[in-house]
Amino acid sequence: MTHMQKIWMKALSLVRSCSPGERIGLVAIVSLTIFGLSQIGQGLYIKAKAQMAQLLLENAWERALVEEKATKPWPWADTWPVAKLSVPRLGMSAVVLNDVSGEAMAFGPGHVSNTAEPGTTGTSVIAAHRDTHFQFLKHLAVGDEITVKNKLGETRTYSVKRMKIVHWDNSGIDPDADGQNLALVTCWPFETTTQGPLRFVVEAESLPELKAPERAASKQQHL
Amino acid sequence: MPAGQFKLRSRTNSTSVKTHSYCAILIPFLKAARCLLTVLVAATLASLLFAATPHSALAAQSPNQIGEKALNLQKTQLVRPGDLKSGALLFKSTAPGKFVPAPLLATDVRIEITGIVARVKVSQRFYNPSDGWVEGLYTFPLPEKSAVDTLKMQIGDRFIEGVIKVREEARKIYEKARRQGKKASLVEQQRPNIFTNEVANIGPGEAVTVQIEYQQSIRRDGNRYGLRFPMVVGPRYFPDRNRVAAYVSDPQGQSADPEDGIRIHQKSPDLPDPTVIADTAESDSVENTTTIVDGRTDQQKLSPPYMDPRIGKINPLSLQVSLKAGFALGEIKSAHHEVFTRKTDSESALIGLKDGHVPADKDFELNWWAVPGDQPQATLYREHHEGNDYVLAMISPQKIDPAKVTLPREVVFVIDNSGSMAGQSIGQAKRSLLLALDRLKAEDRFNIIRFDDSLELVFDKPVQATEKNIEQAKSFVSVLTADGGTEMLPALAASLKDPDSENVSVIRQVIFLTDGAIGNEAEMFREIAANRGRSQIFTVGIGSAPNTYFMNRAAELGRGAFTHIGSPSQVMNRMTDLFKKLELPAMQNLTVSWPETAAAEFWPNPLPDLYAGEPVILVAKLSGVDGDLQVSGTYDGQKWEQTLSLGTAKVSPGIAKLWARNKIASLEADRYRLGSRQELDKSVERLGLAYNLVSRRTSLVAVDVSPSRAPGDTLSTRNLPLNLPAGWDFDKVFGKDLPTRIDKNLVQEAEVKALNKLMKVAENGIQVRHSANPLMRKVLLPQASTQSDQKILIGMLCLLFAAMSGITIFFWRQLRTSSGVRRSMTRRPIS
Repeated sequence: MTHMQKIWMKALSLVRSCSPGERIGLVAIVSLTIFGLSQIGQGLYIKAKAQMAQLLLENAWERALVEEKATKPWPWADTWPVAKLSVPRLGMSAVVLNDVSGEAMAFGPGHVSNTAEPGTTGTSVIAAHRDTHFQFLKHLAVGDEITVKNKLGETRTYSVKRMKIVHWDNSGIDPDADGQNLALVTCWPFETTTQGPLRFVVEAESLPELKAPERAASKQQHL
Repeated sequence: MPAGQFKLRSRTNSTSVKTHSYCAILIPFLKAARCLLTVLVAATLASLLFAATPHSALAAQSPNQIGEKALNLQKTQLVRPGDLKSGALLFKSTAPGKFVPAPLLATDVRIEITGIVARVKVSQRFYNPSDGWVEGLYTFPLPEKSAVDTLKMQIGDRFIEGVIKVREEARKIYEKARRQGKKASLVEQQRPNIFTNEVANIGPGEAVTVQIEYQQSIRRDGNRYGLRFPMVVGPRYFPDRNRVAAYVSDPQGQSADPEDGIRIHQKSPDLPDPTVIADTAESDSVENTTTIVDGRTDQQKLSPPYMDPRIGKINPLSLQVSLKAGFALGEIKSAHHEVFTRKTDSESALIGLKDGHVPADKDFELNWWAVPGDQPQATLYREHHEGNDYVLAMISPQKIDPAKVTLPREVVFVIDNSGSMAGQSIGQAKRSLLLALDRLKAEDRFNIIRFDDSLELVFDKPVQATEKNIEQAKSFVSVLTADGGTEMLPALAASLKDPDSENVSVIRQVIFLTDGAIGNEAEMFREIAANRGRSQIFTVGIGSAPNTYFMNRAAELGRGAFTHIGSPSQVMNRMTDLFKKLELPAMQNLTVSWPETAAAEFWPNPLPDLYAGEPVILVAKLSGVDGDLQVSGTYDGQKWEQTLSLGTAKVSPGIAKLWARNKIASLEADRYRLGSRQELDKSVERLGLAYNLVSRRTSLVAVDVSPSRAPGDTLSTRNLPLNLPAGWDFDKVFGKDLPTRIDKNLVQEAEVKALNKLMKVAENGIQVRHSANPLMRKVLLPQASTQSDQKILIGMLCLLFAAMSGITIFFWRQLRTSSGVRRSMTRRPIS
């Protein structure tokens, strides 16, 4: 008899020793355990997928920058990276995808499609899940710097101006605002686990480009 | 029976035989534990489920309530007096050492402009963060000829419509409701441009929204159309009665000092009774007309507390304009706020604040221009209201070239360097004045008077504008600093002093550069009306929130014009406009003739003189709109005339109310000239009631039907704090050496952070409610949480439950087997 068989025999004998009522209880416990484990598994899978996908996306992003065209992270993907976002102070970074379908957002933050492209005039809205890629949003503070690198390889630094809580269909975000703005969006409140109508919005404005003073400095050297 | 089962049982038997004795003791405990476990599991499950669903609870609420929730979070922090860590804006209460948090206010403004009429909705949301019942008193400005006709009070989902009543009656109704614990709102006019809103019985943590609606006409200056929405009443200076009397009663008693002009110091108070010059003419207060002299009657109401801007800004305001110009729109510009503009078609546009909300600390000014060439020469609107026709006409005189030779001028500049001008304002005033000095021609004569609570003349009488004199004047102006009180009357009197008043070969102009932050407007008007002589008075309003009522009326009485400079960037353009007005002749002797059948009653009557670019604006009540309207005047000796067919007028609502408002204004303007005060009061009252308008004699009052405050609870009154107008210097206005009306300790060491937080919370309150701006493309935000956490949580719960059930069943079996053993043991001897 193998070890497994022994355990199986024991379990069988345990079941046989039970009264019909106890058997029902036992079945319930076993199925509950299986269901519970599968739920935990699914939950962890979502998180793991989010993490793993970022690794693959990182690759695709590097290639996209080099090849200067949209590159799919895996052959059957229906989404591709458009930007990379990082928050130096928190040591966080993520590759941003081209849309905010549920599919795309499982892999990374998404760029809301009818808003400005990252690095152009207007407000560029990027959304991600509060329990995966934008978990760090709650740690952001006013004045924090957010760096976004777009498809063309241009890097732009934004400074966090304010945070607000809005209803999903009443965001108050002006996609055509003057200047270059960034809005990071995730679900609110952070502590709950169910999906709700409220969103947490971090509004950031582009800092004046750092290149300008450098240029001025080099000019002076020439003089 | 299968062997396995038997085996198992027998083994259990062998152990339980030994242990059955303690098992018997444990049984009750186990039973109890089982019960306890079940309860515990149930409780955990229930609480977890509950905690996990606040979303659904929130989703059911309106966003407004969410805003209030956010405010409520703040509440617990606010009501702890003396707790500086969570400090807030606190008021000293009557009990020593105790403080009450100030009510908070958020304002939303919606402006609809149709042609020449603007309809404005102002929603004021009062929030009471304290744990007691509060009555809020909010002092707010409106444009000086605004016809306030609607008051609505929103309590929860209910709207209570306000009614127009005679002032005293309205106050009685309000006071009664206040005593009965009912929610009530009373809107009174304190000055033609200052109103107060009192809201009684706001419960702890409660918010009451009061909506006020008014209309006004659009201002047109040349090609520019403009609308101003004032946001804050600047602190007003109420003059020291003795000084005013000293100068007025003894204008010659100056100590002459040729070197640095004439300085008037405060006189010893051996004076005539100040009340001689101070009968209550223009003051609008009702309660204390007998005891207090002019200007001070309503001093208390016009002296709300002010926030030191270094601590933070309060009173967030959101604003949106829908503009239907009636002609092809050119440029649209906001003078002092960042806005975004969307043209919806060639004639209309939507304008909103870029930030969504701003602290109410400076006037909003919107200007728009017609596409060049599409400029209408005349605009005519009409409304049919209760059997009468009302017409509003705005006619721009066609350009006539003035004769080449203009008359020499004698210009007296009066510059206000009182404390209220400190900050940006004095700089703007100085730059404007220096520009004006450069425009003087050699044959002109000029003088400069500066005043705060003292006054100084650069030259003891007007001098020729020679290079040397101009230089001397410039060096005087460039070193001016702003400090001290605003004793404007002596300065005005000095500027109007004109020994050569019969000489019409010289044009005498007085140019007043001030923010008009005074409370004794009536005295000023009387002085102008009595002593203007041949002088024309031009007022230049400086700063972010000038007293335009005073400026406009003073210019009107002085047959001059009013110019507003709201920010340093406007100095150049606006002063250039003013120079045109000063240097080009005015359109004079304007008369209007109506068709004989129309039986017109029109205002203003008589029409004022017009300066370069200014249009004729008049509102009339007619019995019919057949026939022609003819306006004529003289310009530089030439006759000018224009005829309009009344039938071509476009229909626009609101003209009747504007007519009534203008009539009230004209009646009030004549108040100091006409004798009978009762008669005037009666006519103002009649007009107010008939046209549903708030005026000096009529107020709007709204009262809730059922009381909300129990008779036992006390109600305390709070004057809502205001922002100091942007650019003002707090220390200079409320300086140490001045008899301050504002207690500096009012703001009890409020912590900057906490206050900013408060502001943010108040903002959020608005934000959530009003962010639906139709101008913006909507950004719908995606669902931004996965179900991972939820799944993990459910999984854990399932496992927990399974484990508990397993344990329970295990103990249950133990229990059963042990009792089974006991049974079999007792049975055995028998068998």
